[in-house]
Amino acid sequence: MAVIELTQLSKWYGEVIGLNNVTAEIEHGITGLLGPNGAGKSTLMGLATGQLRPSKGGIRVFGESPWDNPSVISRIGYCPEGDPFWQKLTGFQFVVFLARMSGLQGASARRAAIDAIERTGMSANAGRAIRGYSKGMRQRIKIAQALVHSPELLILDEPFTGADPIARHELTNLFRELAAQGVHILVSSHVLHEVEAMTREMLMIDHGRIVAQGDVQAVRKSLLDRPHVIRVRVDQSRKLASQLVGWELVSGVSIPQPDTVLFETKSPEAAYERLNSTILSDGMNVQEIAAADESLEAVFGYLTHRESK
Amino acid sequence: MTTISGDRVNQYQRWQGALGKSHWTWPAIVRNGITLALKHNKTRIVLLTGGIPAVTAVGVLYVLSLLESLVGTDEAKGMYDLLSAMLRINIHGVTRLVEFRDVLWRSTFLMMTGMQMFWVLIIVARVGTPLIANDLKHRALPIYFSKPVTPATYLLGKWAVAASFVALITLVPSFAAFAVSLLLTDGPGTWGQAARLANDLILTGMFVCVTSGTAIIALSSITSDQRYVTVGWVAICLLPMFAQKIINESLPSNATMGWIGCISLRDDIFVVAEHLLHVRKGLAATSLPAERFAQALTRPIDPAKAATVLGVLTVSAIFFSWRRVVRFSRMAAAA
Repeated sequence: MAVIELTQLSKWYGEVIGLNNVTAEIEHGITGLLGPNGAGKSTLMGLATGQLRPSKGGIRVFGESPWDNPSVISRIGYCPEGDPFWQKLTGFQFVVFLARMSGLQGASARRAAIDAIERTGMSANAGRAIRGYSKGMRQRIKIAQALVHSPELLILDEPFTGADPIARHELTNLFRELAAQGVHILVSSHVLHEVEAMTREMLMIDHGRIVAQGDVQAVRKSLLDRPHVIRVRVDQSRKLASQLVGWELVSGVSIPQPDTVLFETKSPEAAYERLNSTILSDGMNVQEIAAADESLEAVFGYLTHRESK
Repeated sequence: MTTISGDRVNQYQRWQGALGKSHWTWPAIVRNGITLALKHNKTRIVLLTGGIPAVTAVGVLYVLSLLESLVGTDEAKGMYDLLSAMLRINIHGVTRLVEFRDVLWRSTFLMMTGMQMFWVLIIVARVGTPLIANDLKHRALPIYFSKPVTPATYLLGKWAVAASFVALITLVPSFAAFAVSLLLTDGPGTWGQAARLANDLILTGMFVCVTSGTAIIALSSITSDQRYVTVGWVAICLLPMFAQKIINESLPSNATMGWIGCISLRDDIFVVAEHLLHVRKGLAATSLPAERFAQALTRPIDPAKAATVLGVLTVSAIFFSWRRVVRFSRMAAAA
């Protein structure tokens, strides 16, 4: 059974469409939820956490509708994007409060808060007032509150915002660790390479519709109208480029840097094969051959008609 | 799996016990609200000084008790003056004070309630105004409603924060004053009278808690800027009071007040408190001429009318704040 099932799901706000007739299944493990601002990511998260009621169609989390369903909501941990903080509370008080809101009581709430704070690496700062926290610390304490009642599904809205590279790395490791321990994670982020470091599974939405779902490489391969871009770092870049120009399966060649050749092809497998034999026969010294546009960012750019940087 | 403790198991430490029911999340909101409010020194000062009316009431009742035993002596003169000034009831010349004890106790607690209204205004302005406004400002509603919390439990929790502080200003000191006065004096008369008075004090305190709590919750849900809520609260409390004063002054003293006498919410609460404490009826039943206690009472306003005005406002406030919270929670979830 899928963790989250969307069936012809639509959500309108008056005349504005948040989600438009979306059907998808979000499976176990980590799934990246990607899309530009206003795409419908927050609407989807609001629907999945039971804060919004679908206008049409249905959403099921663990096989049940989350709307007005505390038993489902109790199984979800949600980390919102904003800073919903009570500045004078300490990090520990904040997490204990939300543990109590999740249904934990007395000593259990305190113990769960200590565990969650420890997992997010905030133990040393838990006794300080939140107003003195850096942005990265705020992110971590928000994640701690989402984890505090040991949910089976974590929904994280931009968890990397404001976090420094070390914190991002640690959070990525934490999410991977949680996923390995059986927690399902739906994470939205603008930091695409961080999402990519966690998972290849993604759900891309734009203008309220799903534009792609599944493994990012498989999605890239299905974009037939887009030639694949292959990057070759080689010592004889000009010689290689002149040979590539003559190939029928190559539609474009460029030398962005003295030791790098980029070429476009609609038949990547054939191109890789021929490239290997050419390099070997001409005795070129190659440092790297890689797909330049199979990254999440590139695929995201293609699908949302925004070129990757 | 390695067991860490009785109810949590490694590695993810998934919670094994049952989580509390969703409709019991409001005490967590109350606790958090009280913790946050008590972090402000000014709030603690207001709470501490909020005991002044109760201390005054204990003092008055103690003097009343002394006066009963000193009637006819030279010291009694000053006590008559003091009590008449404090209670605004001319009791000069009343020798059998035991017969007036119950009604004078009730008048004392009414005086105390009147004094407490000032502290209620201040504490609600300090504690009540940010209750929902700050959640709107910090976009905290999604974090509440991603937990098993409904708008009703959220509002109940927020209302209970305001009501708790109002109770700390009204109910708790009233009851403490009542208990201390019972210990220091012979009480309001019989045990039955004491029990009835205690009951009336609880009703009066609860009435103030309910009306002021719901009013501030409604105001706090209007905007995310706490300053506007404070200004609105002070305006709602003071402007109708001044308007009522002007109307009262412009009408002859014996004129009957209809709905026009119910403009001021503070006066309405006082009228209802006067009714709940049975002061008007009690004083009218004594042998004292009406002009001797006229100043202690409000102008004759039908308490049912005052209660109706407050009731309609309370129900409207609940409905209004519920609508606002539902609306804002959905807007915040979609933002």
